[in-house]
Amino acid sequence: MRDLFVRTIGKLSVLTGKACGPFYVTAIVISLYEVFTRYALNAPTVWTTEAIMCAIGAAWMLSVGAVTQQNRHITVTVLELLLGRKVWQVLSKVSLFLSMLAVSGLLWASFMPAVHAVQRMERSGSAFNPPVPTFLKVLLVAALTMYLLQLLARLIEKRTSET
Amino acid sequence: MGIEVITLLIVGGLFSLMAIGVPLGAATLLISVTTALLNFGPPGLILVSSNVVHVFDKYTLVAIPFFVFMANILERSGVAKDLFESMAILGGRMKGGVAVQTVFVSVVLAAMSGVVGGEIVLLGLIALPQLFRLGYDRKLSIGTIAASGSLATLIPPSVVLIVYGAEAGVSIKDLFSAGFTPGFLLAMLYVTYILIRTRLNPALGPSYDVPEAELPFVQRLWFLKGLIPPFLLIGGVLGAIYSGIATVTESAAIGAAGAVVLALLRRELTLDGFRDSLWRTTITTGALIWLIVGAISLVGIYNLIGGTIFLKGLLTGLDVPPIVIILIMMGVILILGTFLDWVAIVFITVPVFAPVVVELGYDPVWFGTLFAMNVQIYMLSPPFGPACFYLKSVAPPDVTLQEIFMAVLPFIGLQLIGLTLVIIFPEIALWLPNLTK
Repeated sequence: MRDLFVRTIGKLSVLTGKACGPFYVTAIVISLYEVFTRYALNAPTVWTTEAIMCAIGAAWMLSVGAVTQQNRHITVTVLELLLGRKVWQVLSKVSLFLSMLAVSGLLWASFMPAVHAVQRMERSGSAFNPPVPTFLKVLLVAALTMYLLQLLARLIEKRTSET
Repeated sequence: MGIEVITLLIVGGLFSLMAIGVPLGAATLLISVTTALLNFGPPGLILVSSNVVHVFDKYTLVAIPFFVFMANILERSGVAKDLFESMAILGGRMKGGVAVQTVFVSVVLAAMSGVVGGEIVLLGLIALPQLFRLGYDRKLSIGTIAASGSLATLIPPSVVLIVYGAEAGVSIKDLFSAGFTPGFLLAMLYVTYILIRTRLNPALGPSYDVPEAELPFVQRLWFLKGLIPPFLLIGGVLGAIYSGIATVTESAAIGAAGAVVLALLRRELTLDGFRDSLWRTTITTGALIWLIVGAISLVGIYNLIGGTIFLKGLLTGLDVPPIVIILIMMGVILILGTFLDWVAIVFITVPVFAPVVVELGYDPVWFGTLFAMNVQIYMLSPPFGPACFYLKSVAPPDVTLQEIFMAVLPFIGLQLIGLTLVIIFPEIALWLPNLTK
């Protein structure tokens, strides 16, 4: 059961991480299109900057599960050599737990703003005026949930790998 | 509780969390969540969240994944290898020539890539085995690669300068122009050092041994062809920025597309390679962004409880000449660099330092250059110097970390000379941005 949870969350993280690639490609293509229409057709657009920001913002948020699953968050690991593997194993569980605390705090704090944003359909206020703030706030809640689940999965994985 | 005590608690808490292995992003986030709760109760958390959301609509940072993707594509193509081989042949039979050419190759690679890790790995795979095979002094070879591979922090398009510019509110175009000459100056210092060492003791740097290196100079010029693809790409990106055709972000997109086209033309890009480059871009950028999330949340809440004003007061209240304050800031950055990642350093120090720099009458673009030069020293410095760890990961197994750290010491000395020169003569950095203004 636990094993299934760890594997499912891990797969989900990798899958969403892989899904970020097309967002980056899309953003690159839109950027090139903007330069092209501005200079070749002399017709600058009003929507590209916000579209790019949405694609990139989404990719940044959704990548968090994959970064956590791959254990690639930027970490100082120099004490590992000093304290030895055993102590470090215990500490890494403590640090996963502390990370979960931090993420839960932010998740709790981001939930209501996201709900409000959806209710009022917050818009960016630009000429194109898309609902970017709403989109980002809702996605942030989703990303933080994934972050939290993946941290939990890693904690469980560490505990079961020992016994 | 006074702001002094809170500041000490924050620093102490951050340090302990990091020491036990909490990732920097989570550590800074935990501290900011705690600070917000203690100072404002649950509503304080909403403040943290509203700061965080804005990380994801910082358009200036969009250039980062584009440049990272460009570097990832180029790394798996043979562009760097061709470049190194042609440059080594151009150097001919010169003593120490291959090491000198390695510095020049690094400058060109730095202009195609904004991140240090990839460049050092490439040089470690391409140049280091050649230098060892030819019998170059081990320390000289290792130091040359680690130091010149770190030039990417200073030479445009540098991700360090992009992050600094986004946080300090300074034009990234100007920062790019300002970084160029100091980057080249450092490269020249490295070349001079290599030449002096190999003149004094020619055994340190034997000449290149392939038959092409024996050709007369005019015939060797043919090997300049290895330089054409990188120069087209660099020219495209920088040309688009400085002609005003495109913004920095759009130019990064042009560079990324250019790299894909180049790799396709060379028949070096497969679908798997393309997917893998995207995956690496996702992970590298994701790690960077989620560290920025933590750092921004901490700085935001620290600012709200009056910390930024407190630190600014500490700095401007000192009864010393302005230049001493700049030196103190450099010292703080160097000390932070011994245990923090550079991204965290930017987001923690720049909100405090940048306004003070302007208040003292200095140019924030100049300070950005000094900042990037400092980051470069941090890249090499023991005990964590990331450049040394990157090199270790691809060097032959008998190269130890201790040997690498010993080897980079003279180069850290050269970097300090470069930094001092730019502090004394700000024009080294500023003449180019002032010219284009």
